[in-house]
Amino acid sequence: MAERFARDWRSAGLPESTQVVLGFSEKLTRHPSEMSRSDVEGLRRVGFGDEDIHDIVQIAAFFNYINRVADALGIPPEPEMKPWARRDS
Amino acid sequence: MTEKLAPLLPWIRWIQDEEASGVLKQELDAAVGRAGKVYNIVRIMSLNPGALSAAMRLYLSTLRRRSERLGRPEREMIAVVVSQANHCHY
Repeated sequence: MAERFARDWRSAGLPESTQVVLGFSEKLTRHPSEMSRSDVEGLRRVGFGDEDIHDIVQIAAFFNYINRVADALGIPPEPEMKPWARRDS
Repeated sequence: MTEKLAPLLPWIRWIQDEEASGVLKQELDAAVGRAGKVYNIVRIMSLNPGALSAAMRLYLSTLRRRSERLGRPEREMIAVVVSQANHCHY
């Protein structure tokens, strides 16, 4: 379900402010060097103050960090996670 | 396109839960207190308990915080979207 959400969040009918947060986080993940003041202003325009803006960046950056730790060290999935590929026998 | 297979074993060793002591044991206990179990992302950092502690503190001080406009669900959505953008299945 998380996978479907991550792919379709733009069409999930989320509030505008949430969509701006997620778009910001996605851009930071994919194109970090393209981040600009206007991205931050976009968050301000939908009502976030400096404390929230800072937290949004910290959370997005933290998951970028933890994703890299997981991918680089070959973390086995948790038992309850859907296997992300099946081995064909 | 080759589909990436989930690793069955991690690519570095980790300290077994029952052999943990000191800072590492505190972190494992804290992890159980928070989530009911130890997740592998905690275990994989067991070789550097200081780094593990720092990472957990950063997690708690950002994801586990709440504010009027940025609640827990929104914070968790950021995590999901970032992970998907990184193609990180874990």
